[in-house]
Amino acid sequence: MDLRNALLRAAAARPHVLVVGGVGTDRLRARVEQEIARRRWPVATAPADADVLVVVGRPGPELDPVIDGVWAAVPVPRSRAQITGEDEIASALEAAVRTLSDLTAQHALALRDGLPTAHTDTSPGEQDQHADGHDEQTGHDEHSGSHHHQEGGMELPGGLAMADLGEDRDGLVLDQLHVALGPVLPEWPSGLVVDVVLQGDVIQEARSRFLDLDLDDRDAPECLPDAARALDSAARVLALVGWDGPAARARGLRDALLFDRVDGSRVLEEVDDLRRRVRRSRLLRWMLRSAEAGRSEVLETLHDKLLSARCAVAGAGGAAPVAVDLPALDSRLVGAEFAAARLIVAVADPQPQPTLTRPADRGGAS
Amino acid sequence: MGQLTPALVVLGAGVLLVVVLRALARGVAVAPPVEGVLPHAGGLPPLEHPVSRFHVRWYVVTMVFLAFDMEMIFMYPWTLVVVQMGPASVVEMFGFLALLMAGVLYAWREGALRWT
Amino acid sequence: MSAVLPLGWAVLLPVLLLAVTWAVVAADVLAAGRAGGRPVPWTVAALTPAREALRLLVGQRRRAVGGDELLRGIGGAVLPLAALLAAVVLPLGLRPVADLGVGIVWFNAMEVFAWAAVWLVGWGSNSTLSLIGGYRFVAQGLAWELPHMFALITAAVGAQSLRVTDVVAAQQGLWFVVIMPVAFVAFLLSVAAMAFWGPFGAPVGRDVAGGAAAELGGVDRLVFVTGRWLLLVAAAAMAVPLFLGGGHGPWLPAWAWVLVKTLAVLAAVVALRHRLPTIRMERWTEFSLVVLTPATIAQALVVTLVALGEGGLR
Repeated sequence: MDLRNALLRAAAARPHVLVVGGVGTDRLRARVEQEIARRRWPVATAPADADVLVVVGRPGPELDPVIDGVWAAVPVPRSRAQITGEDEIASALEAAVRTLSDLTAQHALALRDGLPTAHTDTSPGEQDQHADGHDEQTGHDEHSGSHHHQEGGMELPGGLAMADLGEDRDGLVLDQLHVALGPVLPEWPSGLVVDVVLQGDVIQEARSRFLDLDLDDRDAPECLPDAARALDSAARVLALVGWDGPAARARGLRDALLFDRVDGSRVLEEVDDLRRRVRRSRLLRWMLRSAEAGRSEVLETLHDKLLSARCAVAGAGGAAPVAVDLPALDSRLVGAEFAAARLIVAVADPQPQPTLTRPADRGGAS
Repeated sequence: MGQLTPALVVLGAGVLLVVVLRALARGVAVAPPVEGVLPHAGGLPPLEHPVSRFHVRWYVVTMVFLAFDMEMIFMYPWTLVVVQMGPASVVEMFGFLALLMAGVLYAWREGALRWT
Repeated sequence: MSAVLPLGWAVLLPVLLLAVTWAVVAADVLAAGRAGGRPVPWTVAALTPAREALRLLVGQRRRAVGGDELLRGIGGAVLPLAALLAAVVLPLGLRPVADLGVGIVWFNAMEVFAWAAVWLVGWGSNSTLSLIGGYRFVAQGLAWELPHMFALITAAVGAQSLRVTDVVAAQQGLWFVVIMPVAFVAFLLSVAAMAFWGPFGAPVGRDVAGGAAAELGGVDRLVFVTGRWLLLVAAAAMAVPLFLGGGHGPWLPAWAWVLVKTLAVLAAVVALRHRLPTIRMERWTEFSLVVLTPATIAQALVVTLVALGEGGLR
């Protein structure tokens, strides 16, 4: 037992952290990320990779069960921290490490009171709706041999159905998956969920929404200033294209602007340096140009973001970033390959605008 | 077979390594495996099993690859005899390769190497 | 048979590779810290591989709903085994653990097992993102494998032998990198690609939340990640006998030269990794088939003609 305690302590020195926050928690999330980076802890990619689950702010009624589901999927040793204010961050992270190295606490945490199960009651209805909608779209009368999977009375593991058939853009009939992407994904906007129909790694239909929008409008004070937001979004894009160094630098600049009250000219210099690196990278240009079938929209928006950050830092008050509303995002996602879709979401960086949401239909698996 | 003996020993050592690692993990892991984890795509539960007929849009590339792979089966032994056989074998092999490359360039022009 | 190391080295080989892997992971942590503007003290970096391994060793494994545990377990285990078996033909000094007459083909065959391994892990996890990651690796593999094979063949033509020790012997005077630079570059690219690492890391990328490895926990993840690093080390080490003169060099004994050259190749690859973004596979496929493959074929032709002219490079 002593050996195991020692092992746990050694392992807990560098925990992987998964940070989850709802709509309007960007500022606090940035502060948490800064503290994690300062401790040189890695940011987890998925629950399987996480040791510490940090919940930022107070999640609303829609996000809360999602976080519980994610928490249930985190393997022990694990620890969960709730952070609602900047002054709690250091103590919460330290407490998380203490929990991680405490064997008895971990034994207790290993007992899960039932994992969440799939929403079997809603799935058939959802699927019919999707399948029909799709058939109408492509104008084909035959229902492409669908629904045969659910019949036959065989109980599939987890109560989940099998994927159904649907036609693709080349006229082949292949399986379609209905997947809700987000809100807990690396480099993903806070609180965003995109319900997609996937065929292989191509998105056929997309419908995006924000969780917990119709709460009180307490997100107003939590909005990031333009420069910080542009840098935050640029950091996401850079991390998604696998350029971790510049992504970390963009985050560092964001944090310097938000919290450190540092010398503006130094930040300006570093923003310029970052812009130069991004502009000069031929590989990046070559890769991003293909992200959207010939158009370099992603790359241009990335340049724009860095430029607007520079203008804001220099006090020149550059053009505010163009807000992307959700229907526009949806239409851009249709037909995109998965990696490209992730980039499109990251550059669009949609912000919740309560007036623009569709009130009635909330498709998907909420 | 004598040549392969060390390779088999390495294979045995490797298998042993993996088995020992797993046994060790079973001994020191904090808890037994967690069962019935739902696939993660962002935290919301899935509607269907993700194992599906995946749309492999690069299937043409697999055909091109297969052609070259067959060619490799000839080319590996060819390396051993090329100097003895003289220029004729060089002409034959690279003529064959030129034909294959012409096929690749045709596929490229037709857009088969781009799938997004 | 005197060209082979004693059989005990077969057991030592995994230990040696793991030691080099430790050093490379630590170097990678250092390089990542520098690239991100937060330098890591080398004492911390040197301990990081052990901490990560411990963390995964005490960690809980996960079994997915409807996942294929057997396939996933096999896939994960095949990754390190493929790396170890590929390394069998590496001369540690001037003698390898197994001096196969078709050593180059053996290396090629073993390293391709990784294709199956990654795909099996991606499929067995029963997760959308893992599946996408698994298929990404197959698509990527189709692209890098052709230039890689031509690079291997070019070295074999230079020595007129598929035996790795013969290739080393043929470089007593002149390193092959001098007469086959294109093949060397193509080989270095495929080193990173076969370990789906660095610019070729899309199969386990952040955008798919860890891709093929997204659902792995505990020792499963440890075996997978270790296998991936072992593949990188084994492949990078293979560049030494093929192109960099193997154990040949002044002053130092042969084994020391092999070690120094291997570490140099790995250092170069790690340093380059942090300067480059991830390559998108459909762009890479086009480049690989339309530019890199003809270039390596031309390289093979040049080397063949030189070999013919001299009646062999020996």
